[in-house]
This record gives sequence, structure tokens and C-alpha cells, in this order.
Amino acid sequence: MEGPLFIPEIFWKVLVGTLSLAAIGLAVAFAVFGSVPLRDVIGTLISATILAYMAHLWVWFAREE
Amino acid sequence: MFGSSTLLTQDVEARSGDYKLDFKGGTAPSWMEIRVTAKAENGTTYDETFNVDGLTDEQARDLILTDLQGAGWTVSTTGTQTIIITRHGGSEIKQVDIGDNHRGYKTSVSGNVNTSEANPGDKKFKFISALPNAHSHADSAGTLVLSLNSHNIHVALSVDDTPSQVASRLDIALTNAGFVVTRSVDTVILDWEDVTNADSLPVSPLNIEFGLEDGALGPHVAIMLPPPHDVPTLSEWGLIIFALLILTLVTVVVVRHRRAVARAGA
Repeated sequence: MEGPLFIPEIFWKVLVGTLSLAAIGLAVAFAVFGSVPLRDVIGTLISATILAYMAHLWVWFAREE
Repeated sequence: MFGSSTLLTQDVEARSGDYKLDFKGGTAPSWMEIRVTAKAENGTTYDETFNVDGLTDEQARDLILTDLQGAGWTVSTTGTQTIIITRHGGSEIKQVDIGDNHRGYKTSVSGNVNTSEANPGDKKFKFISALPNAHSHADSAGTLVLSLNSHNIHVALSVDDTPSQVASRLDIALTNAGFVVTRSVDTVILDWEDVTNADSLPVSPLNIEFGLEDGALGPHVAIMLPPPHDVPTLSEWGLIIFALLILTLVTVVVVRHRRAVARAGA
């Protein structure tokens, strides 16, 4: 039986890093364009969360190897 | 006639055009006429001239407002002088223009544009000069006034100026003021993404006013607003999230497979 593919301690660290990068990206977009529509903020948050989960799998697998 | 356009930072209506009447607290003189034009993205055009003899700002405003609504335009109002027009049916406003034939009175027009709603590479305002209002009660073509944030450009006009001559004068005045513009016969185009223009004009908020002061025999000038996005941003985010989900699914399958192989080998 396969264990769950979710390691909380790795995921939260990766999520913090990903959201930090997303925040920097949004700040740059705001500085350049003067405004950031709400839909872009929501889209960024959803994408960042999915990306963080994927990245945590890579980190976990790299450690196991 | 006086026109203006303001770029907003809020994620609200992509664009709207405002008409404002100002009879200086009194009533319009007997021979005063107001011409109101609007164009929507789907090609619908509104062009009506109203005789506002003896009407106050509010009465003239209501007269125009009712006619616009009857023609199928989505309009709202604030105060006693302003008409805000946003769309015709499902089609957004594209061009707004208003003019009066009485020297000394001021009717104005403005457009609100959300910069993020415009297509990259097509973030331009077009200032159009058309035939004069052709009324015989004025003896001056007035002064063309264009305000770009703190930059104020004044262009003195002659009564016999053609639309292309007006556009040419504006082209020269803007160039002398340090802006990069292009001209096509009767239209002057200002691209706010141009590096030189961007140095002088913060992208947002950018306030543009364009119109004619102190003259009723001058050109009929109009502001054309930039077109909105061809592809909705929501669809773009949907595609990005869908691609990430597929990539994540592939990663899960690969991880499971390699773990299974590793266990089998152990």
C-alpha cells in the first residue's frame, strides 16, 4: 500500500518560499502597471499553491534518493 | 467643447465616457445646440444634436439622457450636469464626443479606461479632428487644449483650419513638448507604452484632457479609447492552472512509479 504523497513539514516550507516569490512578483507588477486586478491576485495564489505542492514532491523525492 | 480621459487603477468598468454640461448656473441661450456622439465597439453609432434653448444644466442633461436610453445605451448620472455612458447592449463604449455652438459656455467629455484592460501593444489614445460644427454665431476657432498630467499643451486655431491642419498643429505642439506621437491625416495617436512617453507620464493614474476652449467654429474633436483585451484574463488563468494540475499529476505518477521500482529492487 502506497503512503500518502504529502509531507507537511516539506510542503509548508516550500509554500512559504513560493508565496514569497509570488508576493515579490505581484509587487513588481504593481510597481510597473500601477494596479493589480483582483482576479490576477486570486490566480497567482491558486497557481502558487499547486506549484508548491509539486515542488514539495520534487524535494521529497530528491531527499529519498 | 472640452474632452478628457482618466485612467483609473480600480478593476471596475473597463471604460466609460462622461458628458458634462455647464451653463454657468443659468439657462442656455436661444440658439444654443449641443451635439452628442458616441461609438461602441460593435460599430453602433449615436449622433444627435439637441436644441437646449432656455434649459438649465439639469433639464438639458435629462433631455440627452432620455434620448440615449431610448437609443439603447447604458447610461447613469451623477449630480445635475453629468451623463456617464458605458455601453450599448453588450458592447463597450469606444469613442465619446460632445460639442456646443456657443462661445463662452462649456460642455465637456471624459473617458475612463482601466489600463490593464487594454491589449499590450495597443495602449493608445487617438485624438480625432473632424469638420467644424459649422455654426455662424462664433468668430473664433478657439484654442485646442490638451492636458497630460502636469503637461498642458495649447494650440491656437484659425477659423479656416481643416481637420488635418488641426491634427498637424497638435502633432507639432506635442512633439515640441517632448512626446512621441504619430499622425494619420486627421488623427494624432499617443501610445502611453512608448518609452519616451512613459518617462513623462506615469502609466497610472494618467489624466488626459482634450478639447476646445473659447471658440465654437473650431474642429469637432473626439477621443477614441483603446480597445479592451481580446482574450479574457480569467481564461488565461484557467489555462495556467490546468497546465499546473496536469504537471502535478504527472509528477505524482512519476514519484509513485520510481518509489515502486525502488521497493522492488530492495
